[in-house]
Amino acid sequence: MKRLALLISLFLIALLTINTSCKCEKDDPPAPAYDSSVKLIFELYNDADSMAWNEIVSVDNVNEYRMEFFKFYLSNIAGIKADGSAVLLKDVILADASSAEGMTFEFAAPSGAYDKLEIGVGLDAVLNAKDPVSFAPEHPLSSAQAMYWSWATKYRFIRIDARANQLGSIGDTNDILVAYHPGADEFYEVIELAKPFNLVAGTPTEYRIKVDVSLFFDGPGGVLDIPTEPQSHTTPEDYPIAEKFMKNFKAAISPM
Amino acid sequence: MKALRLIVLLAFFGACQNEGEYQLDIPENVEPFLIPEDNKLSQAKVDLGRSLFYEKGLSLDSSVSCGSCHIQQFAFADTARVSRGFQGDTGFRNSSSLTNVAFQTAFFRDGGVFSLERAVHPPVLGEFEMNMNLMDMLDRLNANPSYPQAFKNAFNSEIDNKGIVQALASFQRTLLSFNSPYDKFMAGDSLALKGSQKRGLQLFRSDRLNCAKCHAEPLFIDNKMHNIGLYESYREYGRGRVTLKEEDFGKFRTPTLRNIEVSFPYMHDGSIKTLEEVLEFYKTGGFHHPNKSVEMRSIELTENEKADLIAFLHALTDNAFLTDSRFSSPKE
Repeated sequence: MKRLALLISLFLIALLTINTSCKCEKDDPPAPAYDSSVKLIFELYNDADSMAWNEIVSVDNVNEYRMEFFKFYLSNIAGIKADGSAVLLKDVILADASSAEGMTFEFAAPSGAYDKLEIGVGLDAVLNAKDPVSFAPEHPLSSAQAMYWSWATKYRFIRIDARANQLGSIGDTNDILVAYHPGADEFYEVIELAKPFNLVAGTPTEYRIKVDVSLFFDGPGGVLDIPTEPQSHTTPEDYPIAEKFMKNFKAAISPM
Repeated sequence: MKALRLIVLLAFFGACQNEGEYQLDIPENVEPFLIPEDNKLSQAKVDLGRSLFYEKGLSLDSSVSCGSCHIQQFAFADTARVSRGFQGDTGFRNSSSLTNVAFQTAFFRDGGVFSLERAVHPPVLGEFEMNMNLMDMLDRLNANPSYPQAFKNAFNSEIDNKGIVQALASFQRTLLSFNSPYDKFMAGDSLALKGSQKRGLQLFRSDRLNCAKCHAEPLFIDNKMHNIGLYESYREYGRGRVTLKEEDFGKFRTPTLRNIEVSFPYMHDGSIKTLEEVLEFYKTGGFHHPNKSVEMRSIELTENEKADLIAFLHALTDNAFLTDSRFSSPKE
């Protein structure tokens, strides 16, 4: 009797094993070859005008505005093919506007036609909960990137430190110190860049993305008045500023 | 102590770690804390953590160390209302005692950090505290003749950021204080507490005063956040600063009462100087605040009862802990 039970058990295990392996073969298509690459190039603009790093520009409500530090996280970057399938290109990047290199990212990808890009602005909750100490200094999520709020164990999604002057020139006595540091799980949002692109095997393809600084201060989130709303560290008292900034920032990213 | 149970933590020493287990003495009536699997205690780590704790080179201008604001004789707290850090800058909260800090499940006054390892960076990187940056910190430690070997002993590796936080966390896990008159009394020495202190203990445990509800024995913490109605309108948000939720405004982590006699001033902002004044505050039941704990209510307390209660609180002072050479600066 025991022997029969053993035989039945072995038979069932074998059946399950065969079934599982068959399922894998049937359901899992061969992994696509990452035989091409896409190069994302972020470019600063002030409305319709190209903008250089450190350039002084005039934006809503202030005569002069100059960024001194500007980094932002984008995560779960995916290319969406015509059939709706998504190809994850990169889990997380940290763009640094202070150099062209810091605004250029190349990812391996399968060749083919893509309808659009999906980009998570900021960090999703899983990435936002990562321990920065566990990453090498050059990794986007490392503490060395100066984007982590260690006291709250979360990341700033965007960090802009800047100077502005409402009526005069930067450098005179009336400079406004600007610091927009939004970062909270609820700010994370995936946006679509609905510009199709085609990747050819063995050939990198450029995909240019505009970052329109003027929209930071006047976008779908509303007008951000630099003189009266110069800073937010996503604390309860300045949370509305951070929220408004994030809405505007998402609208400021568009394909060129 | 007779009642001490020897907890031998046998670290899982793999090929990457040096041998040298570290023994923690935790009383039988205290539930041991958890140690992360990837940071088991070893003597070498604790030694390294101790050196780093007192290393002023971890601050940008080499002026302050962890030990500057967490002073052993004051139960690893600071007598300043708000400690001074880099270039004399001040933060906005009173420095917490590190007494038995390993038993906490959340760290800092607002509980924004949930592991000792992750509690290392806020003061080290904080611009009003040590204002250090990680790359400079690694360079400095590498330039010091003793640290490369100490890291090799502790982690069998070169100096890195992870090792720094693990060593500092390891040292802090050894800051155990269970040798006060109260502990001796609880272990069976009926003479360890004087009459006034025994009466104070009874008062402390009484439903009327309700102290033990949050300052629960034997650690005298509850690992929770409370708004005690210290202010009608708080100047800062407490737990709400981290969660951004209105219901958390004005809530702070319950601090331990062990060594409370020497860890003055009191409250999250160091606004109350003496235990007498603290009791006077609790007598009032605190100010009205929408988030105030339901446990806070005004209480009747006679002068004699107040004296007894304070006498009991003094019985929580562990002089051996405050002078233990294992916890002092290795340079002294």
